Amino acid sequence: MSFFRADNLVKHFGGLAAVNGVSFEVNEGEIFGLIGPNGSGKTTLFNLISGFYKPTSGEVYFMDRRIDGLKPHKINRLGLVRTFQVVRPLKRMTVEDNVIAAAFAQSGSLREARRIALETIEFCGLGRCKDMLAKSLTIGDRKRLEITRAMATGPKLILLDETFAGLNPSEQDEAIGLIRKIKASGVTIIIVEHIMKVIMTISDRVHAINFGQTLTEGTPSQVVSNPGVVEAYLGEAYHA
Amino acid sequence: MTVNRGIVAQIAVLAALAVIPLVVHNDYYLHLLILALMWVVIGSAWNLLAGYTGQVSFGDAAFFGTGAYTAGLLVIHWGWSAWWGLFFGGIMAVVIAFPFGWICFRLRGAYFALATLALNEVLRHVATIWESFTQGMVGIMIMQSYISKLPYYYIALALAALSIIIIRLVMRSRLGYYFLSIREDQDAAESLGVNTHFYKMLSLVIAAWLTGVAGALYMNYMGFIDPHVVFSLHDISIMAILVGIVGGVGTTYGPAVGAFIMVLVQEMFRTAGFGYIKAAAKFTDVQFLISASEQLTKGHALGFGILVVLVIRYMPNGVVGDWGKLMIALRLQKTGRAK
Repeated sequence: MSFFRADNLVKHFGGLAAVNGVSFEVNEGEIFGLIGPNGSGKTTLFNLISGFYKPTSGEVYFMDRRIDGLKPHKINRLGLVRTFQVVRPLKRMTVEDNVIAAAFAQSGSLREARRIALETIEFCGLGRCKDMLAKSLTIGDRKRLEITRAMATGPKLILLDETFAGLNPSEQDEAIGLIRKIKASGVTIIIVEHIMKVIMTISDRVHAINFGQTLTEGTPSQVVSNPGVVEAYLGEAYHA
Repeated sequence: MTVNRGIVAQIAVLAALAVIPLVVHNDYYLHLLILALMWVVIGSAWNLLAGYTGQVSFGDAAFFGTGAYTAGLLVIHWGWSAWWGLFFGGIMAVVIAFPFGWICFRLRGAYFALATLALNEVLRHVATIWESFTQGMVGIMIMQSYISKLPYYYIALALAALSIIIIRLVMRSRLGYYFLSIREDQDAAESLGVNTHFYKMLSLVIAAWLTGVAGALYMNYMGFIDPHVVFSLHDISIMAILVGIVGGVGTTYGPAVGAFIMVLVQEMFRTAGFGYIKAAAKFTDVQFLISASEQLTKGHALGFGILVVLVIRYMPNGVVGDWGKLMIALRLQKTGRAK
């Protein structure tokens, strides 16, 4: 019985094992950080969990249902939603329409979907640009739209893929506030992040991988003090 | 307020179209109007699939021809009225579209478009070769039900109105939002809980149905079809694309406007400037005009090509999509002249 569990996940691309035997569990209500250097398999792991890739072997369980191999839209309907590292706004639609399209996951009626969308837009702080076309947003707002859209589908678990990349420090602080707010609303979060300051501040637990394999798992402070992690990921600067 | 004005405008246009045949008794103009209304149906269908859902079809003639042949075959094999074709033609087009979409929606972008092109060609060859069933190149000739053009005009008008109503209803519902999100980004749509395969199928099925019904109307109206007419790549499939592009891809009324423009343009080429150039040539006996009128008739494919290039270059969103731009350009010219 666990909220979310990945069991010995393996994904091969030809001869390359992008993910090689990663297992972890996530408890309901926590923020679970996933760290690792470039090319260590974090995004592949997200693709496996959200149904964009089928694992070569291994299993994924979400609320006691096996979900590996299901189509992404089915997984979304179960309450697990992901965002993309390279944001994918529906460019020629307004912010509001982007979010309405997502909110239809919760209701079939346009009126109800619009109500949910507007609520979510306010919740995520995008109200000032709801009538703008998605393609005209700044990168910070695009990242925010990515999260808003995901939230509008009414998820229980949200996967955030490098939401902070490309944000300036003040935008980062706003995003941290938003993620805390999402957690407070009862949604569980798995977050992939490069920026250590962020991951150390908001995560309840952190799982570190490199070369597709688990390095260590624990509280943020435990993880940063692990020599393997320091060597593989944080480098000399953080060590000092 | 704007909504009310919109509704008023629509009713006014519809009423005007309903009154036209009572005022205009010229069969030739009615014929052009009937064709234009038929193209409103086909263009709207193409626009739903390509403009809104982003799945470009190069093979609308596949569904058009299926509808037309269904109507014709009902007459010659079973002795039914060709009007049943309006019902069964649409259904048969869906029967063709369903397995096609099921398999070919695994393809994306240009590859899907090429598959529709192939479907078009395959069906044309089937209609040509399967002589015992389709009468091959001989084609199918039926007796038209009415000598007057009026009944056809009103049926075409009803179908055109129906197709626009369907598009409007679809685009204001969950379906419409899902179609648009598929157009914009299939993976993002999928991650937001959109069953992209299912909704692409749905869009294709609606488009195929409308196009098939238009084909059946064509059989009823023209009384004669053969494989090269109704499965024609450039006269049907490409024309459908042109109607959409010229009018405005991804706009509700674009294909309707595009249909009228394109039927006019087509007729202009077919008759070499509505016969005026020919008449002028005869009257003045200038060699240049004589050859010009001949070349114009032959060169309609080239003319279409040039038109598409111009539209894409200067009005990429079509006449309706770039209406504002068009008006501003005209106004600037006017004020410029005033100074």
